[in-house]
Amino acid sequence: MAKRVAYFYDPDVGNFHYGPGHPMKPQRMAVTHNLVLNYGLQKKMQASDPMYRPYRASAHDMCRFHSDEYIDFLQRVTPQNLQSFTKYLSMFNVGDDCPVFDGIFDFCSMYTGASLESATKLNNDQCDIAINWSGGLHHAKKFEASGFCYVNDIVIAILELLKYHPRVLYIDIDIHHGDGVQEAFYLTDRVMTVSFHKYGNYFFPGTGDMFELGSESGKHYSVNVPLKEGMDDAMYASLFKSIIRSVIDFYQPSCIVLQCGADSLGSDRLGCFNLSVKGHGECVKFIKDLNIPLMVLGGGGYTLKNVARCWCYETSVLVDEEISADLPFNEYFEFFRPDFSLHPDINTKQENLNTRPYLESIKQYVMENLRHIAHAPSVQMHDVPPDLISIDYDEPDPDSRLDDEDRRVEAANEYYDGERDNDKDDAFLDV
Amino acid sequence: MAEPTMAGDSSPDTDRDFDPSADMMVHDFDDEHTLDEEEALSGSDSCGSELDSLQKEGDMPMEQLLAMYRYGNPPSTDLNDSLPASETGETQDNRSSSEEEILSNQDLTLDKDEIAQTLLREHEDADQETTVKDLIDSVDMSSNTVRLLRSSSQPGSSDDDSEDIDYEPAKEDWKKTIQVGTAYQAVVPQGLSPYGDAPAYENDDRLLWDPLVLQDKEVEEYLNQVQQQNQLTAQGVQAIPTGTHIRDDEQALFLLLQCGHNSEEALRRRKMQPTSNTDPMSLWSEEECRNFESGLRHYGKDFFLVQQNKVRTRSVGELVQFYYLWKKTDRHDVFANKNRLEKKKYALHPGVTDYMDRFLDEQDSSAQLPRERSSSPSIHSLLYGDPKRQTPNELKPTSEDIAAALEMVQKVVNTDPQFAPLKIMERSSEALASAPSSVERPSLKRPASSEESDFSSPSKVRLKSGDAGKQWAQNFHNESTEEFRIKSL
Repeated sequence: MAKRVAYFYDPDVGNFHYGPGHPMKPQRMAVTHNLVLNYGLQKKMQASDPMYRPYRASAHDMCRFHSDEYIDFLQRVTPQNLQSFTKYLSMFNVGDDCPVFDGIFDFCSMYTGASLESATKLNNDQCDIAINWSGGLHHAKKFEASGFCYVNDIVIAILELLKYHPRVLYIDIDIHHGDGVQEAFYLTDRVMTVSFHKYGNYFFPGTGDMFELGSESGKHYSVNVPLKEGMDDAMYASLFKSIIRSVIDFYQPSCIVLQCGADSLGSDRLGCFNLSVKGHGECVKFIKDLNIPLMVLGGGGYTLKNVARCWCYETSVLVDEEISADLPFNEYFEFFRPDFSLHPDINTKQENLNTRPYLESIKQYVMENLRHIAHAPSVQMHDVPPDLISIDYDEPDPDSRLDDEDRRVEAANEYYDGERDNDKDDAFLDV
Repeated sequence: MAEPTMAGDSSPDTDRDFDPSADMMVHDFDDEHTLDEEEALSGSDSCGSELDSLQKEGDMPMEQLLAMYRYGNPPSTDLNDSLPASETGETQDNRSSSEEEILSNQDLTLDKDEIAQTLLREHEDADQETTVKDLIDSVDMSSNTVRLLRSSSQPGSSDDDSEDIDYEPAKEDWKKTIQVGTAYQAVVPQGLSPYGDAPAYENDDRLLWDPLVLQDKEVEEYLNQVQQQNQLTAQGVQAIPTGTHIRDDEQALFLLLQCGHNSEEALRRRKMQPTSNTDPMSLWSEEECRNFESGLRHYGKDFFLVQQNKVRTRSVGELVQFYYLWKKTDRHDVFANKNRLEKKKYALHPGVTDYMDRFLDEQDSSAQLPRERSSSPSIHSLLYGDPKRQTPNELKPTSEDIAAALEMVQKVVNTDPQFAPLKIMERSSEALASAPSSVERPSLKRPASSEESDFSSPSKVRLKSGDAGKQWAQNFHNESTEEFRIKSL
């Protein structure tokens, strides 16, 4: 059955820069989006992008998780007035990994807003899958920035999902441990966090061994799968599938948030796994096929061209479209030299240090702990007014969306290529 | 430097007896080598034993690992000694003390005035090497105590994704624990709370275009007319045909939507306000391109500074977008080639590289950023000796380079229709060729005061980022030119 997919993208979200030499490049979102458009994938989605600009989160929204002081700081600080904030920089861990750049708050506001809107669309049952490649900044803590992340859009989105969903499952396939999300929900059984990551040897962030289980009522609701360098497609897929299968069995989530950090791909500038685009996408496909409402977010990923390939491919997986391995011509075509392919060989010579026995013992340990979850926790229906939402109803918006958005979704057998389906146009593609 | 106590030892006072051997100075580009030596000198036992234990840990069977961490006492005492992070409390202690250290180190790295003072003083009574070394050590120490996600990459390594470098672990106590308390967890609301009649955020997103109201034909017609209108009013480079393969004019469509899909009204309104040409995709004027490149040369990829000082007509966001499109054009190749040629000369005599010179360059390029850093990542380039760190800032084109580049650009632009939108390059190269400033090399002796100006200037820049920045840039220019002269002697 075809899923209703909503895709969120703010056309400005790519136009930020963390500073010279910084590996995090927001422009990767623009490149991803460009690929998605040029493959024509947007026609399978609800919002015919780029014509929809998602909601931008307010400081109030961010304070649902973060401390007021921290958000206030993010709102005020700019590269110009930096020196007057000196004492806050170390307090909020802003500086090296998380520099202050021009437009820092707008950037946070865009990716957080898109995640938040993804959550409301899922809550309202307006879609089955919500995609926000600009989100997924999983390291941000309540009181501080960390690992290129300032505002933890995932936590904020999950808090929104918890209004409708008794149990939310968070899955993290970024190469780094999803410490911010795990920490935020460490004491609750309403969110289970499952993170697959490289662990050990000084690897950031230094948390995420398998003995971090959660505590108090959240005990056993944090699942960690620490891995070593060089994970390949086959190993990753088999481990991922078997663990997720039992997690689903034991926890029975009503909604899933999947963080698709692309730094677990081979040849990543900061990563050390060896997954291919297809191998990474296989995890996404597996989750999609569970038929549970799903929010898909981005995350890490520091080899720009491969990030774009990966997330574009995963978009195609989520909308159930087979796309050609030859990249369509696009504004960033030159980035994909020399192969111009969606699935280049990004295998590195990295030796796979994960042995079968090692993975087996980790799996066993994880399964053991899952058994402590006697039954999926249930939640009473409360009639709490949604006081935390900031809705400003000015006047009925004449430009508000159509009720029947689905009309926009193209039928699978539609061969007409839309308004620009015109033979003449090919001439331009050739030049 | 794995433990805070170790790091504390490497304060400038205690480190003075650490003398870099001539060997190290000569083979400065072998960063790992240098690091190894440093390691061996400063923390051989504890680092070594920790690494050993980690190694042991890796080889250990599961049961033993379990026993070691939470499930029982460590099997052997030496393992226990070398694993301070195995107890939660201890880890927190470590963490807090390292934080203190960072704070104390901030005096070193954040207050450039003070650095300048200290340096100058030291410069008078100590020899250069010691000064540099002290600074490096102190900054190295502070940077290593901060946990960095990107510490696994070469800080400041170039944009080129293919040039990955080996992962160099930071010497620190890297294990962390999840914190528990109100300061860390999210407040999870009790129970469910459905929205009721008014779904949250329903109208907060903004419809920019609805493709279903008008027929495709009408929209096409409208867009064509808009295009023609643009052509009529456009001047200079904007008059160059842009081709229809670029995306729809989002602004025009949005206007059409605002006019209730009445295309005549939209066109009329468009005529009234023809200044809507500033959308990110509008063509850049030659001057803007040239300013952008010169800004890039001066400030590196600090687009905020480039915007502030060079391309005021565009937003930082536009600059970023332009950069990514620009870097895959021939125009970028020309730019990079010029820099590469210079780089070669720069590296011609690696053996006689003057540490102080390099340090000054690096210091300059980092000081230029008007930002506070808890540690100075620019120093890493000394440690890592990454040739890529010799950013374009330090490089100036010669007239021959420009002439060669010019030819190339013109050839490409004339022959390759794919770059029709970049025809503007022609003009740029002409302008570049006629710009003498980039060719002239002011000759400068190296007076003692040059250091002074270089070290105190960062604070000036920060106080007044405008003029002081320019003035400083000039200093920097001279500095790097001089560097160049020394190398070519």
